[in-house]
Amino acid sequence: MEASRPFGAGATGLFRYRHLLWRYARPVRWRAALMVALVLVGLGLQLASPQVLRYFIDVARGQAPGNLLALAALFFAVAALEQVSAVASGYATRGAVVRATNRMRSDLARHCLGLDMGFHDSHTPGEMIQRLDGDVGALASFLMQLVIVVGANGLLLLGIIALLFGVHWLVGTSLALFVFLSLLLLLRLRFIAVPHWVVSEQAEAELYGYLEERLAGTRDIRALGAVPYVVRRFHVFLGNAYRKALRASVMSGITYNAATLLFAVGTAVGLFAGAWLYHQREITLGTAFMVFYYATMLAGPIQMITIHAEHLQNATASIVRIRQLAETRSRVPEGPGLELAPGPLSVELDHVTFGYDPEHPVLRDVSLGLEPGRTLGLLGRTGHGKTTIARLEMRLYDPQEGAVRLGGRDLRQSREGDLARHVGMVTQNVQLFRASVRDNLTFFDPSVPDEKILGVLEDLGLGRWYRSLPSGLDTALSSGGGGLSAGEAQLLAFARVFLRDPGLVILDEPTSRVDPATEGLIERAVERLLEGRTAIVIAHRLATVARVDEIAIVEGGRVVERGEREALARDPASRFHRLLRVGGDLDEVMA
Amino acid sequence: MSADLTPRTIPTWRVVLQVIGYRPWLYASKAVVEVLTFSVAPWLSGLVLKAYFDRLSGQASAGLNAWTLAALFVGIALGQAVTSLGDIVMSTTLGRTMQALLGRNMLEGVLEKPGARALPESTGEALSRFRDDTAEVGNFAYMLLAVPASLVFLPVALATMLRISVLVTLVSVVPLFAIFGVARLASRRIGGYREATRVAESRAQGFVGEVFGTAQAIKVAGAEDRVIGHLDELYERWRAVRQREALFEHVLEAMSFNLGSFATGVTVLVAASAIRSGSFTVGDLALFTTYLGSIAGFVTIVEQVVASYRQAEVSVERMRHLM
Ligand SMILES: Nc1ncnc2c1ncn2[C@@H]1O[C@H](COP(=O)(O)OP(=O)(O)OP(=O)(O)O)[C@@H](O)[C@H]1O
Ligand SMILES: [Mg+2]
Repeated sequence: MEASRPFGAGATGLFRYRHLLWRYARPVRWRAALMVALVLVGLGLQLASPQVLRYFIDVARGQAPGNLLALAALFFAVAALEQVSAVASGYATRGAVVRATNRMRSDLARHCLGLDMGFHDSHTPGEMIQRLDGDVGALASFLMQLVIVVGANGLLLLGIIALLFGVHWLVGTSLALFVFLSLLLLLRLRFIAVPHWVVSEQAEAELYGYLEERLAGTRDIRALGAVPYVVRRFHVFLGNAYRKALRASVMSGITYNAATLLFAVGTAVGLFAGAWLYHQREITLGTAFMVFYYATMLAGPIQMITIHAEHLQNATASIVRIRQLAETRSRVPEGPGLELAPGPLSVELDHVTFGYDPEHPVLRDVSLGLEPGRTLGLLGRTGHGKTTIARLEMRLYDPQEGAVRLGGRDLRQSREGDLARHVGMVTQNVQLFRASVRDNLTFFDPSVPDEKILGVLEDLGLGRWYRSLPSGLDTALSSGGGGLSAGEAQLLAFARVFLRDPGLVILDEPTSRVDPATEGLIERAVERLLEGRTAIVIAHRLATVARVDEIAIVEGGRVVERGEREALARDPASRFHRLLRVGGDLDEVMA
Repeated sequence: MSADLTPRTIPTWRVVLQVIGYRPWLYASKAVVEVLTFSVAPWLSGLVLKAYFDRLSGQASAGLNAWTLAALFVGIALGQAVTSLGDIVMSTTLGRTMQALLGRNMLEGVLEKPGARALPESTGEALSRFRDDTAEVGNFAYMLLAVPASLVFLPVALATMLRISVLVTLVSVVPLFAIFGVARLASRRIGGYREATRVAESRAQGFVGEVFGTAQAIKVAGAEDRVIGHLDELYERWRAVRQREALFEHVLEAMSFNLGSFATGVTVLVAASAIRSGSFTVGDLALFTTYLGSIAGFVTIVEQVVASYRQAEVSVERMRHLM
């Protein structure tokens, strides 16, 4: 378990950048090795082709022995292979990086999903998409850039310089100096235009701000005869915007042209050195050509490095956000584990005080017990804490004071997944995925046999609905359960619980109305759900309440009435009695 | 003079011509500067390189010496930088002038509209006519210039190469264009790959949204691991289509932008015996190397011009609607 959850408890404090890289590089290490090998082969080919060209020229001019046509063919082969290896290494790099990235996304998603509901309340799904796809994506492209910039281009530059030193120290030194200075200069020049563009955008904003105001009041301008004046002012703003834009463009142009000019200087340095050494009879013409060729090759990697240096900085913000997320600890910490016997369970809230925000308790000193196999109807006005009680029993939150017990054991001892085996919950709003009916019912558990699913659907009276599905259990439901009626969605939620057959069920009845036909189905489903289980029903209908053994009424975060249903119904002084007398919809009665 | 947008019968290109005609000399000098920067300078650089190597090898005994030629190489680049800066000044001036002209006409049209009618669209949209659509028309006017500027290089470079060796030129340039043509045709298929990637990506992203929108249900069902397992499947599908797209892109790239060294390879192969006999000099090889590298980049320009014209047409239509 621990190994598959790198953001879990074990990773605290260790979540450092190097650690991160290693963690995700390791599973793809063979691919990464292939990637590095291919990049190196590509570099080798790029570095080799001018060498071949040198021999070719020297042989052609009779200054070296060798087979001219073979050398030409070799050069051609190297050039062609260069293209192939560029494709292969690009493909391999992307493969390794994307695999590692997706793994990280999935680990991070798993970590966040394991956090308490308080975390989920304060992070919208949109925000999570942004973290997982946006930030992790930024980190991935950062890694990609790192490979390309530091790896490939840096090595290419170093390789060229080394080979030039091999020709003659003079060539090596002068071009090494050139590379150093141009990187320095270009990295610096990159930013000179930025403030000018800011000014230019301001002028632009003024221009269009003016225009916007005038366009909003065209009628008045005409009526006042102010058209020529407005047009004149428009020209003044245009002129200002033009001057600012011109300055900014020229600054950008300087950066761009400085690069072009520099590369010409680099080539010229190669030409000078080549001519000098050739006249000194230190090198052959082929070597002079090679020096020229290498000098022109310097431009590409220098340009790549200056361009991508920007991305290298951009990723830090993302890394910080990812780390923050990864270091968030659940406020519902893992316990040592909770083993419960199968079958009906007792439930107990023992002096529980809880608030989503601890400053504002929603439940105050609530105590509530239920023997195994008994059913409890929970009633109360909207917003008074019924669903909150259900959530505490599922340990979606831990109470600030008191304890929640199941089968006599404190829920704080439970680990993730312990409760799901014993407690089933039908929530007020049914949440469905954009996935097949089967996956929606089993929560992506392929081990549940189809017959079992079909049996449950038939029992719930969903047989007819099932037979109307175009591809049976493989039919895709749309996100949010579009295309399903509220009643059908509710019945699917029942099916989810029946498939797992828990010892305690919590049913949070929906407040929304369903059509009478489905209502009948739901009633029968509730009846079957309560059979032989401990159950807590948050009831909104009298029909549902009629089935339970006991009643608790919640008001303002306290249990204000508690007792046997029949006893309370008989007691004219009870709130429950009053409710029954008025009749109708419970929600309306209590409001 | 004013660019009259109102008569609906006037085609877009006439509007563009009117806009250009507003500052004909500026436009003409920009054309000259572009030709200098993008055609003459690379052409001259090639000639200088040829002269340099021919001089070194002793295959040309007259003319400038190697040092002067190397200095000249920098000189050309310097000249290119100066004309390029000039080009930027002219572009901005020309673009802004066109925007001002179109903007003023629109503004007057809007303000003096008979019957004191309100704007036919929201102020925000109207603003976009002034800001974006005027820029589109100006943009097309530039793009129009890029054609002569780069297309001057193509025939001049080809003529220079043909004068050196007809055989080597044909054998190296023809496959270059052939490969390029194939790459262009193939690039149409990339739309399908992109779409597949986009679908797989939005499936995965959408599922992330669903997972975090239904966190409670997942926890209640104890299905955390299984849900993440499904997410992994979606991610894996996304990776597969994305990598397929990337492969396609890399191949296209190898077939278009990086063709320079490949073309040099062909040149060397074809010219081998000519180089030995001295009828194809090392200087010629240098010239071919530089020209072949540049030719590959020029073919895309025509496509861009067509796309830009379509955009300008849409913009002119929108501006008319506003008035
Ligand atoms: N996730 C949450 N974060 C913060 N406050 C919450 C959250 N859920 C509920 N509350 C607040 O806690 C209080 C009790 O809400 P709860 O959902 O338990 O009421 P309820 O009795 O189930 O109401 P209803 O009958 O409408 O379902 C309300 O004031 C509500 O606004
Ligand atoms: Mg509720």
